[in-house]
Amino acid sequence: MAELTSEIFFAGIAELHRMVSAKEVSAVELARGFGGRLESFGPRYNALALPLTEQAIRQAKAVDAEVKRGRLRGPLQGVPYGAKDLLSVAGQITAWGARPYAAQIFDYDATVIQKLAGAGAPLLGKLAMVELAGGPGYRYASASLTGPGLNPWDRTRWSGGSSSGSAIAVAAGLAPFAIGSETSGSILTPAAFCGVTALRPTYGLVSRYGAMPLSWTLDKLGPFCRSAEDCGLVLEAIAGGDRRDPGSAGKSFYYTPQYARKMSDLRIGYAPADFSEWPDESARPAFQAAFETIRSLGATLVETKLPDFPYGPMIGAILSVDAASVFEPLISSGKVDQLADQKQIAGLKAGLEISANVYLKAMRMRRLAKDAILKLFGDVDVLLTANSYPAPKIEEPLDRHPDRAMPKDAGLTALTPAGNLAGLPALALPCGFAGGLPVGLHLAGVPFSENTLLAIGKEFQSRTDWHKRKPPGVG
Amino acid sequence: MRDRNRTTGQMTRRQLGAAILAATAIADAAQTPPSEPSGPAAELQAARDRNQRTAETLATNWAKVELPMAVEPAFHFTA
Repeated sequence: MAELTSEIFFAGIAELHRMVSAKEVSAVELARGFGGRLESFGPRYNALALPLTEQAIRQAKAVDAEVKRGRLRGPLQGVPYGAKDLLSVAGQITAWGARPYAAQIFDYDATVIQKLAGAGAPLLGKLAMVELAGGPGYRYASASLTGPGLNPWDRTRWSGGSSSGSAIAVAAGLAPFAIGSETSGSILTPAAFCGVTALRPTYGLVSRYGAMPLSWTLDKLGPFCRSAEDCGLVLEAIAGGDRRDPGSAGKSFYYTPQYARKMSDLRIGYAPADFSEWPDESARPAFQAAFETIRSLGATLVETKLPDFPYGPMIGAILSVDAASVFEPLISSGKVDQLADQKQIAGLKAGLEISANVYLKAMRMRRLAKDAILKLFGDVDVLLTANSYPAPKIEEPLDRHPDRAMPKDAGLTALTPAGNLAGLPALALPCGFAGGLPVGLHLAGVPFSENTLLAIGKEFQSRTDWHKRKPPGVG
Repeated sequence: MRDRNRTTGQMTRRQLGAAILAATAIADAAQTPPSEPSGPAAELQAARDRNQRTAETLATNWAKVELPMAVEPAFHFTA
């Protein structure tokens, strides 16, 4: 077996696939190398829920046989990956990060698992997550069956959640890419904290069949990768209509960087306060430098702000009611008390008591908010904001108010709940460091504008190397 | 005359503008108080209090937004 080098563990998808196609490395060697790495390094960061290395090697053997016969499937063929533990894999434990489901086994594969198998990507393992993808809210990073996700850049800091293991695995070179999910922030937050690129697709673009439901009209699945380009390749493989997902948009996605709009044709909306007032003092230089890089792309920058709606309470009401309904059997059985986080337990129970009137108010106002947000995109193609703060310490309560006074200008800081309520696609881009911890940008566009977001990301990453940085001690 | 807004649930620009202007920035009612509740009963009460604040925030905004009756909840269902 060839010795896999650090360069391979941090290589992009196109390069790995080229090496497999050229028989410079076999798919089995990649599956064995990454699988071994995930098993040995994964527990160090509480990133691994279930290793599937042997299964991955079997899949990889089939890939090598195909390559030998000259049957080339596409860019993911032979490139292994990890999947958040809310995705069912036939015959394997799918615990949803939660003790009450620690022995749960489904007899079918989630659609994204099927699609990636069809693309020739071996599955290395199930990746750790915040229990029940965070449910209606949690207080501590320790809200997980596998313990708190530890940040590869500093293990005293949180990885972010709920797709903790997915972000960690990519950041630490334990998998070339990973699949996570977002209901409200569960892709964008861990991507920013761990310094990886990730895409939250338009609602309905990727089938959620076989994924744990949390909120039917908010849940999305998306990739964590080394670059925007890799996100495009993975999205092309996992997107597509699926009659088994009632929220499916019935659309495919083709990654077409060759047809990307010229940067000079784009208008990017931003709020100055997001870069100058909201970030921690330590993060401002990184964000301001990133902003100047964005400016250098040649797009027109337009000051803007979000329509004025109570996005937090709206998404809070919808998510709380949906989650309580999904998990009503867990609540009524009393097993909800086996969860790790007291705030989540109480939030699920109290969610059952929210009136239909409140829920419908939130859902009807959501319609207004969506219309208003889409109208904003008449003036700009993309919205840009900063993830204002780096990863918090593991033991810190996540719902604690910041010590300093918050700026009066809200800017685009509510873009995460607003974008999720409107079903918008979003891209997380690493853009620098603050106190040794990664910080990131957040771009959002109109539904099904993933190619535009990815084009901006690719241009940004052609001028920076933040996405290529390696955490200390990962080889 | 046919009222397109009643049949489609779409808002006119004026209605939309009024809605945006009327919906003032209100503190995120889902935020928790700084002190941590002690024990399951206090935690459940804190969750109920959060939900109450959420309901009040939505009601405050609701009162300021002239929402056409035809605006449906943002559900999606295909047969």
